[in-house]
Amino acid sequence: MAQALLLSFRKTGGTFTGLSNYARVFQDKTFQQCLFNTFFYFLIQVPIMLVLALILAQLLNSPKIRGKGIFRTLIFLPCATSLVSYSMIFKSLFAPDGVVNRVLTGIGLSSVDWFQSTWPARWVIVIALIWRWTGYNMVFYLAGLQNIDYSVYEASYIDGGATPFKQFTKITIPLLKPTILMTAIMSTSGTLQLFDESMNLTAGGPGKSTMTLAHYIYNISFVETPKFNYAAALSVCILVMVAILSAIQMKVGDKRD
Amino acid sequence: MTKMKSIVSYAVLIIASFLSAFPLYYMLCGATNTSIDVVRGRLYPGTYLAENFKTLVGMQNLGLAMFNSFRNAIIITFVALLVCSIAGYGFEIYHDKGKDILMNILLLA
Repeated sequence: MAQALLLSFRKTGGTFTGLSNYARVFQDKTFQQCLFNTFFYFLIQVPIMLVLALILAQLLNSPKIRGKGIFRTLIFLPCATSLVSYSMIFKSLFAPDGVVNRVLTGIGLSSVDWFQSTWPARWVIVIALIWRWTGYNMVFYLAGLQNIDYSVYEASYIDGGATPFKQFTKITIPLLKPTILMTAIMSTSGTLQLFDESMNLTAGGPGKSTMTLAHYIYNISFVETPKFNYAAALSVCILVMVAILSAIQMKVGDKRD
Repeated sequence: MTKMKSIVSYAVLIIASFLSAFPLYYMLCGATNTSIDVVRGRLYPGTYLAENFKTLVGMQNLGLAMFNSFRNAIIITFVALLVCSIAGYGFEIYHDKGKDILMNILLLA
């Protein structure tokens, strides 16, 4: 990592050139597009996924549901798939004559050209990410939920007449804070460095509209004539972004006692 | 929990499980049909598994690939468990400011 930092301060050829690579970063149109894409995925996907995982975990934690094991396994199954194979499957599911479009026309809406237009392509990536990682986060929340003593809920119901919603917001969420913090940081760091879906599912999307930052770095380093120094500068930028976001999340959530 | 609530809970869980498992079922169908059927979007498993498998083995060295994956997975899991348990224990029990910073740097990587 330290070497990457050093690399980013030079030009190709090894001459020390200070911060010129970073200046170039700010003027790079492709970089701005990828930045927008990556942050779009981050801001839309992470909240939806974490909320879904929390709801599913809460449902699966209730003592009155039967068949918990089956539901848990089925919802966790997507995480066990390999990234490349699930990209292939999603590509074929969202093809112009694939299953998703057939369902859409079946219920009366018009079929969407998922991979040829910019916004549908972005939504395909968001959907794919949610599909894959909800089960993973749900398992974390389940473990956290099972650490909460049932008597706490009983006490709140008997002593205070708390409604289920109030129980959820005032008891469950505060007690789950460490788990929520951990999944939020992991999801943030993972989504900001997203590469596989952008590479395999949409290959950058029509034009560059679904390319993520990591995919762009890969292109600079290995596809076009390699400009490793510029790529190193970009990598440092991503690192700084992830660090800042994680620091914010830790300040908001962490308590050490 | 009221009857209504439990019905809604079951419905949500069933929908979530179906959506999670459907692409994998689709993959199973794809593996057992001919290419033409897959492109047309057939949703039932067929009987071409053996033939598809023969084509796959003919094109790639499947045995070597599987051996590599297994070897990597087993060794990495074992070593990671070992190192991370001890490291986590150390970070938590002997907690001080310096180790906090070190842990944050590690997380960043």
